[in-house]
Amino acid sequence: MHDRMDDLTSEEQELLANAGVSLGQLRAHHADCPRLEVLQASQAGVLPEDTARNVAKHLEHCGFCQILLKDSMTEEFANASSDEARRVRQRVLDAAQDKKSARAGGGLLGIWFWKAIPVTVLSAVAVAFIVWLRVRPNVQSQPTPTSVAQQTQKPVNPTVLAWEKLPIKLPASSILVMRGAPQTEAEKYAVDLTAALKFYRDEQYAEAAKALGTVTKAFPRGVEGQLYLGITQLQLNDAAEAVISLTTAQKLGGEQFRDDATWYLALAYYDAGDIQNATAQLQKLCEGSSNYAERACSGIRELSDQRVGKH
Amino acid sequence: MVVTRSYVGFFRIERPSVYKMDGFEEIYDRHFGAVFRFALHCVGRRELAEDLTSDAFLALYQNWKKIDPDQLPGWLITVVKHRAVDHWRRSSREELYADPPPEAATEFDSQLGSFLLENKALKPMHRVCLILRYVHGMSREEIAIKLGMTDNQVKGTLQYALELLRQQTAANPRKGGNARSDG
Repeated sequence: MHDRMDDLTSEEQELLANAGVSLGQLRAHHADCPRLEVLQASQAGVLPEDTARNVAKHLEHCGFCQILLKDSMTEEFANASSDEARRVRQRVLDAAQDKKSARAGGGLLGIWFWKAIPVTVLSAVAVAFIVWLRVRPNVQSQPTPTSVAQQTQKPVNPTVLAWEKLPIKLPASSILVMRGAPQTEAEKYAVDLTAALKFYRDEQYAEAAKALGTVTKAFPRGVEGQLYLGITQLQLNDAAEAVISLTTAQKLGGEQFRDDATWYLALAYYDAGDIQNATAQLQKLCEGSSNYAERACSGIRELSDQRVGKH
Repeated sequence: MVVTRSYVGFFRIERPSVYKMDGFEEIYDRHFGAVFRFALHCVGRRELAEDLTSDAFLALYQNWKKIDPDQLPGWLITVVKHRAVDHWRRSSREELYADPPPEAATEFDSQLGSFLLENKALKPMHRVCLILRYVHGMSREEIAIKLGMTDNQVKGTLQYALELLRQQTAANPRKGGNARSDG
């Protein structure tokens, strides 16, 4: 049953011979012993019935297999090494992330439905308030677009790790499309992206997330789509999804967007409560020479202070 | 546009985070060892045991809200067992020991057998390496992969075991010295 390996050293052969062990006979007699994994599986009750019966019968008479089975079941062999533990852990996390990505766009229904209700009610009240602000008679002056936008903004944040809207940077192919109907995939991507980013520009983030989600599904390699989707998800307090989108954007990156993706990824980790990863991302920027460098260094200090404060 | 963190946090929708999974990692750390050990006993191959273990925890992740923690690790063990049954069902008859030779010899070599059974200095690791090497005829590399050891560890273990065998032979010459090694 086994592939026999006759690679014994002369020292091994001499030792065994002096001990009176006839290796040739020994191997010949046990050439058909079940493999170790079959012996072990027979004890776990997972083998087909006929195999389990054959192994049990063999074990009744084979002393070596009895010793081998008993000893191989001890913990020193059965425990996972640190490498094995790390690999399995990573595989579970990666697969979980894939599942989660596949579910993206599924909305808040499901297990988080009940937690979403109060938020939905609060959002509805906020929207009603904003609408009322827009339509109420203003005796002093008509609100400018800017002042209306300011009403929807959240309070100014004293921390350096604040969400700020990234200005829209469109891919070069978007300029080409202006000349006519989109021809190439890049041009189609630019058209869809531009349409989706209108919601982002108008600060309609829920719609922007939906539209950008569609764009990233159709063009998963489009860095702009992944980046602005991540930023939008972050604005919508969906840090877990933001991490996924921004990690993808960071990988796709290129010179133009890598620093942006890294900065917002740090914010996403921070929002998710993962200070260690947030700090790691900030460190990359702090050591660089981008526009984010100074803020990133301040952010690291702030996170460090927070940790000290907690302790 | 700027957002206050505490303000954001107040309204934050608590959703399961991929990297936290709301207690999932704690459960993972608590039961990983037991699940891996069982998987290894079921399939005997370490890389397959990794697959089965990750499958089980991923199934747990997917059913996270339906599973009562009191059911663990039993639930995970059951998943592994079902996967292992599938694995063996798909295996060839040769791998399975489904057709053993009718007159399979199982003679117990008295010299090596008594050494394995009687020498108290031998540990399970020594006996397993000796049997796999000299009875099953596996190479050191194959043994290392099978047992999750390095090649050097296997070499050292065998050297130590053979040294014990040499000492036993020297102390009790009746048990050796005149046999022929034809391996």
